[in-house]
Amino acid sequence: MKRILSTIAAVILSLAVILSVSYFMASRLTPENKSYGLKWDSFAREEKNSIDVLVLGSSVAYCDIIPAVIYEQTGLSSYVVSGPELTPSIGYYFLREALKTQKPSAVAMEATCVFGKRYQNYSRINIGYMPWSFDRLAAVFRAAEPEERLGLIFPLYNYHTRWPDYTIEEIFSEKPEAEGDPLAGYTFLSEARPQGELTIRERFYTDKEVAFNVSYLKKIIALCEKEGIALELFIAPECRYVDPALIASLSSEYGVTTEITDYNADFGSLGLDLEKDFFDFLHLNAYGAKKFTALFAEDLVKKFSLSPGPNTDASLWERRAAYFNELLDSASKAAQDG
Amino acid sequence: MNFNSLRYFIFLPIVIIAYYLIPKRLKNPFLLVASYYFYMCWNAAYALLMLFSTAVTFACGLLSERAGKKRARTYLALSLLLNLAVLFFFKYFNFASYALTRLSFALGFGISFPSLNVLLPVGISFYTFQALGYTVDVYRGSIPAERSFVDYALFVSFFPQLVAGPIERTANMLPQLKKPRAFSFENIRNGLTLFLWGLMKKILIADNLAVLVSSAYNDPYSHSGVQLLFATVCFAFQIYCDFSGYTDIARGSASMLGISLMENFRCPYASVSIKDFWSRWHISLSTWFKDYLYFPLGGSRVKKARHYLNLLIVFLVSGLWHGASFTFILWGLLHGLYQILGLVLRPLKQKLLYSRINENGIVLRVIRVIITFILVDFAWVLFRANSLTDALYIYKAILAIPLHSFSLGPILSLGLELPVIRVTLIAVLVMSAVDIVSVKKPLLEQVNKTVWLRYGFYTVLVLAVLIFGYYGPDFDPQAFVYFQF
Repeated sequence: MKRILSTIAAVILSLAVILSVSYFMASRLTPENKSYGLKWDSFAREEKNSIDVLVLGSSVAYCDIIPAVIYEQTGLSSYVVSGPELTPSIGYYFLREALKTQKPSAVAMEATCVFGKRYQNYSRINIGYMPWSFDRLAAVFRAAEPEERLGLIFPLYNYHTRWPDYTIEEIFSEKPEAEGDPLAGYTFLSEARPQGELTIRERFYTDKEVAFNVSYLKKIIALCEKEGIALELFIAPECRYVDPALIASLSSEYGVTTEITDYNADFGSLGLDLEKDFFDFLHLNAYGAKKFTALFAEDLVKKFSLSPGPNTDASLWERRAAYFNELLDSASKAAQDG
Repeated sequence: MNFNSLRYFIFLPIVIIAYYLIPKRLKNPFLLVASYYFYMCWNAAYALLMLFSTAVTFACGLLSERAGKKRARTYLALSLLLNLAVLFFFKYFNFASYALTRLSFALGFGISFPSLNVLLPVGISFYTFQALGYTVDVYRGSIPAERSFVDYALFVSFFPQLVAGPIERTANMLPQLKKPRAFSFENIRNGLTLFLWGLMKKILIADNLAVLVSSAYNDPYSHSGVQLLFATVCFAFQIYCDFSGYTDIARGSASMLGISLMENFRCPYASVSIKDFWSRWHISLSTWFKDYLYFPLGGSRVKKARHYLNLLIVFLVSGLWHGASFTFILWGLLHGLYQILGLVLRPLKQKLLYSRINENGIVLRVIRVIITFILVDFAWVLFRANSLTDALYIYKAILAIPLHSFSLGPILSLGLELPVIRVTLIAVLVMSAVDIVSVKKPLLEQVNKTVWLRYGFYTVLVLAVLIFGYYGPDFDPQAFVYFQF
């Protein structure tokens, strides 16, 4: 009996040590997230229930929507909860994770990602930096490429080879605390690349993939309904835009009941300059994003009668707005001097 | 599926658990199905080849036992012919075609012989020899012919040793398959210890060293003599840890199923002579050749010249068994030559050296070990080089190293960072120490005696592999070296 108990204790202790050391080493060896988009560490530093609008989506969201401008325009606080090549399936789990600490009045989802592949090969970036939770596990098994799953559950699998880059002191030193993101998830791009005429985007995904993406869009819709959150689905202005017929098919063929605002339908009225306001055929630069966000924010408030929540920290948002404007001024000056 | 794959880590425990839960009479059929499933994960179609080899040798065994001596010889010949024909077709046809083409052009005939686009079935050299060993044993009357096709098929296809040995003997394994094999904590303990030790050797030592060795050997012309020398020394440990690591995993897996496979290595780099080396390296193959080729040729009980010829034949065939290329043949012949030289020089050494110095004294022993290692490693160049031209270049480069400006700096540009080299070197030293001590007192068995020591050992091994091992999504999985045979 004593031997059996010793064995059980030894097994449990061994597993505990192996798992603890593995996950500790994984946390030290995982490279800092230098990609564009949401940094969960920074998001966690936001005051609880202080965000009025969450903006969900892919790189189109974090390039085109500026929280600082939303605040200046409407007084609403917002945060861009998005990642590079984010799929609706990963987006769903992003939203679930974000709603653990925030109770926004509205969620605005940039829906270009619905018209994409099921897997966009960015699971390691998008899911790999999510906080450890059941939602992260669910995202691993339901939204990540099969070949990425092992590394997402067991990050040491992906990053153990980085150990020679560290000294022992570095491994055991205290990790610096994450800072808040002054741009609240937005990615500042100042370069302007002149674009030609507007064309319909070529299709690189199958009907099956759209159906899968729509299934997660419906989950997002249902989640917002359940939480009493207003949901705005929109397609941001793009030079290679999603075929309007495909957008229309979401309701006619896929049964999506929530209306989608396609800003490409009346591109001319947006006041965007094809020469100066685009970073590439899909993304606005900071100048274009400022124009678009102002318009977008007004539409949002009109549609849902939104008003700032009681926990919005005005001084924080003033600082953020000032920071963004400083960035924009510096970029303009540099462009003029250059 | 590779032993060092997640799939195998899932497959093995499922098989073990199911194996001990099912009724006794179903255990062997279950293991047979599991073994064929394991093999078919490599290539489903080639399982038919293995089945063919199994059926032929099984039938020939039964017929040979029932027949008279003359007819029995016919069945033996049939079994040898059919199995070796299959082996020749898949492994040696293209080499033979290439060699004949070169010969024909050298002689001025200019005939190009055709080559075939066939994949080498994994493990064919191993299971063919295992099955042929059975046929010969039955013919000699050493063992009775097996009556149960299921048991015999399991003997040939038992998954832990199927793809890279050890080449088991009928007398060792078939009786074990027939005995009841109840669950035993001791078997699980011993098996798991061996398994993890083998995994460490493969993933931490062999696969890390492979990066360095491949960097030099895949492009020897871009590397210096020092780099090639370092890579050659590393290859000695790479191939040892790769192959013995595989064997440990195989033996560990088998132990957990209540089957004891033969030891295949016994600290080979502590050998004091080439003859001693071959009694410690790939023991199952060297004893197979000894029993089924060397002794039938007359062994050492013939005139000296014939004895030397027998040695050359055995090592030539051994080289050929390893691979269908001139480098493997030359590697085998070189070892044959070493053995002959050892025999020729023995009387001289006895007269000049051993009569004055204790042959088993520590200093002389160390010197002999170093010399043997140098000779073995010198031969490994042929084993690893991608061609004869490469091998000759490597020998030339190593022998041209200027001793006065010997520097270890260039080894850092062989694809492994210094911290990784350091950790791998420490692992090699620890492994070597364990091997050396284990010759007299099996250390791994000592570890199994205390619960806390055993689990502490498991924890250290697993963490060492997880943190320092060569694996991950960005790596080409390093197949075991001996899978190519």
